[in-house]
Amino acid sequence: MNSNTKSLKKDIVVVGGGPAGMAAGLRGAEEGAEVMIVERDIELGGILNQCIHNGFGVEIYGEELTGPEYAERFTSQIGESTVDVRLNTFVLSMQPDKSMTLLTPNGLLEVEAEAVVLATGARERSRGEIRIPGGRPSGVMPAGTAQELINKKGFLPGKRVFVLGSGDIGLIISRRLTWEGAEVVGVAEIMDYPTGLNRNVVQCLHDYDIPLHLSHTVTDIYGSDRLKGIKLSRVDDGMQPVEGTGKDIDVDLLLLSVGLVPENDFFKETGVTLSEKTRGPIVDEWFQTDVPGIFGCGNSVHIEDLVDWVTMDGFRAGDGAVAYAGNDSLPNPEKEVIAGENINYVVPQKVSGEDPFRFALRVEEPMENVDISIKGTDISFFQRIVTPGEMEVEEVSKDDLAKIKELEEFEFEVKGRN
Amino acid sequence: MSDRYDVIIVGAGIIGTGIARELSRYKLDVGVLEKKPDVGWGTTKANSGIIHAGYDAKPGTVKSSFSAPGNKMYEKWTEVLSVPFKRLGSFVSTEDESQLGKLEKLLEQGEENGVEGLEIITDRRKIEELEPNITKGVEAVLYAPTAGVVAPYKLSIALYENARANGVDFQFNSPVNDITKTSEADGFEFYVEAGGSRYEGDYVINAAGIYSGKIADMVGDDSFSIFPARGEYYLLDSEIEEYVRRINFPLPTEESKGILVTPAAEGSIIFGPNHQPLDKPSVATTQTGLDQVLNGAMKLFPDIDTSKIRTNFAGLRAKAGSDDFVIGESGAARNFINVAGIQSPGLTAAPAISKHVIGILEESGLELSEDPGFDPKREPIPKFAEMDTEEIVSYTDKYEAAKDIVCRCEEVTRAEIEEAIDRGATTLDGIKFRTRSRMGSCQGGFCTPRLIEILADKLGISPKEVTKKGDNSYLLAEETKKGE
Repeated sequence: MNSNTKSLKKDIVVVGGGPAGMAAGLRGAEEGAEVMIVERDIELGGILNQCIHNGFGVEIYGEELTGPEYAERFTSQIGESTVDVRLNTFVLSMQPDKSMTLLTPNGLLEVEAEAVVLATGARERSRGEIRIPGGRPSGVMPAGTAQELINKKGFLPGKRVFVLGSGDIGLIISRRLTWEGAEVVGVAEIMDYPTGLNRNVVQCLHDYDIPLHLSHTVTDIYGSDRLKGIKLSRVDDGMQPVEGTGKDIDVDLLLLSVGLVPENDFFKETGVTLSEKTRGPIVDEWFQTDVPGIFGCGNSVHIEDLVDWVTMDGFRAGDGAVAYAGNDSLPNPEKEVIAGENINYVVPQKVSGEDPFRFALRVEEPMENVDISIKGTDISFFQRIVTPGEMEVEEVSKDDLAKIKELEEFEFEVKGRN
Repeated sequence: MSDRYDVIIVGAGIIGTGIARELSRYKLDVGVLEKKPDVGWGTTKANSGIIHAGYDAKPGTVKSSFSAPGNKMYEKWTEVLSVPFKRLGSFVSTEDESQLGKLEKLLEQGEENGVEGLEIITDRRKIEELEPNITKGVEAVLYAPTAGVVAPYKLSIALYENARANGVDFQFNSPVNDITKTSEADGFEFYVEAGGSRYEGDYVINAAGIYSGKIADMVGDDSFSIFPARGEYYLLDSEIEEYVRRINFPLPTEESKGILVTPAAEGSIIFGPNHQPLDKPSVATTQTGLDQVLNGAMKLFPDIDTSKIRTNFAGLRAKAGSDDFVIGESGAARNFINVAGIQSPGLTAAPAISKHVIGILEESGLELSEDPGFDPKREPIPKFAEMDTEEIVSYTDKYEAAKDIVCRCEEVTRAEIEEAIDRGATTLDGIKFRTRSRMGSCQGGFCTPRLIEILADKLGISPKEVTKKGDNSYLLAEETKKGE
């Protein structure tokens, strides 16, 4: 090691100071661990800082907070805690043995941790990934980038806007743009149902008469320097554009709200096994990955709907990291959790079966009046409506576990009542 | 007063910058007029980046006389200019043994063109050793070990920086709209009007790529026309760059070398191009075209993970009617030199063409006297992402801005971005081609707002004046009502 490089030891290093990382770090410190939170931005809070709309905290606090207000509840507690917060700090490399190199405002810093929580959040899918053909003008960007430009930088990136994708960011940004005097001429969704939360469809589109084009997508982009327009086409059941249905729409801004992808680089770097479905790590009920002592939580594990869930996962991962760092052995997650009928994925993907656990799942198809159950047991949860756009979160209790402890795997399924 | 140059070069692509840099060895006043705000933004930036071995061109063509010699010059050229270049070797593959004759013909052609090391391989084991993931059906390949890959945009930037450091003037945002032959009494040959200014020159070199036909027209030269042909590409994530080891071609057709699959010089994998003749230049991609590209690539690598596709793009070939390079003094105007129709293998040929054009100028009377101050070397922008610990320590000690990572995907620091701006980038794309910011997995989602701020700050302009690529490609329409 270079003589100019300093080094430190910590019980827990949390990478990412958004809602997931703040919860994990805070919980770790509350339980007496030496915790460092590494954040590359100039402040804690992550994406919450650009989410100036309200609706955060209903599940946890029973009130509707804005993103910055929600973040503030944590930053003030962290400020009073023993957490060593490192802002403007970037993790350059991470080893499976939980040693890492950080680039800090004071230069390089080597840190060795007993446990690591990777709360790195997610990134937006890009135009290239969804392969829209056409020109490459300015004026095509992810919805979250537009949100940052508007809410943090104070600039409108366009005046006549089309939004592709009915994810929550796209819906919320449509309302925000409307408030700022831009004209949102429409939102298109390739699926035949909206992928964002229903409350956002109502409050952000319907209330402002913004049309939502289901089973439609953008099939061409016009303009060589600045965006001039797009082609909107209907898609068939196989999500392929139907020839002859294309309609040209003049806009100067196309926002993409076509999904988020967990930021999984450090999981890959440390050899953690990833799930093909979520693109995040495979985790147990403590959010521990298959590399001992490396935990995930929040959007770095799977894309969550509500920050409240992210926070709760962060607490749980914090508990797990404390146990691991303190050499309290966590139970072995020997039971596999299987995504059965009409389920896209379930997190956690494996559990010990000894501790109660909360699970989150997304269905494959919208359905009404369903039971979410564990196959071969009488454990089940009724839901009136399920859709891939809304994550289902339930808890398997100690009593439930006692009934199913002989099962080798837990297969979840979603079935209609009729 | 207008600027007076010994030589005016129209176009700052790989040919224009290559010739400019070659001319900067001599005591000459050289001016380059470029319509875009940066170098290499025409055909140069969007092609496969292949340095061909040189077996494709029919012996006797102008193309054939420059390809193999150009290829041989690449190590030296890229080393002194610090541009990534890898001699990976190329494959032309066939799944049909009866096509072996075609490979043999290419091999003979190559040998006639002076290509070294060509070999036909039919031993499956050997094929797989060289290219493990190629389709199982391949029966025979023509292996050309001298073929390589380069980042063409980086090369034109390096040539530009080195030419400029050696005294060449570059005028950007200066589309040439008229060229006038002067009368004898003026003491020079041409007036060139561009971007609202008038330049005087003794020689004009037409290296205007797609627009070289139009430029030649301005001096009454209608001996050739340019027919643009679009080629579309997919670019994959660098995560799987090791899946493909060499430059892979199918059997060539009459009009093109076919859809290839190759590693790119800066990591990642490229599929493409297809071949679509156009009436009007356009670099928009099309669904049909991209489907052709994907199908073509899948024939060579059927199991490649197409979920790793990161983006698509298109470029234009500047094809002359003769389908050959048009290089030489115009028959219509003395001292007007065409370097036109430079389609593939133009990138390969570029160093040889640049040298050759100096010869043409000398023959037609330009006095060349070597400039003892010429420095052939150009240093690259330091690359934080490739530094070891010790290098990081010294880089961050030297530049405070090196501790500030702006592009998280490619780990590009503010120090690199500011240096790119100091070296001539004036747009987001200019920064991208110099530093790779916005080329990573988020494609600029995270760093674009900061890049806008840094550009505005360094250039002393409003964020609203920052553009993606010049002209009307602004990024911010107006301030918000509350504007923080």
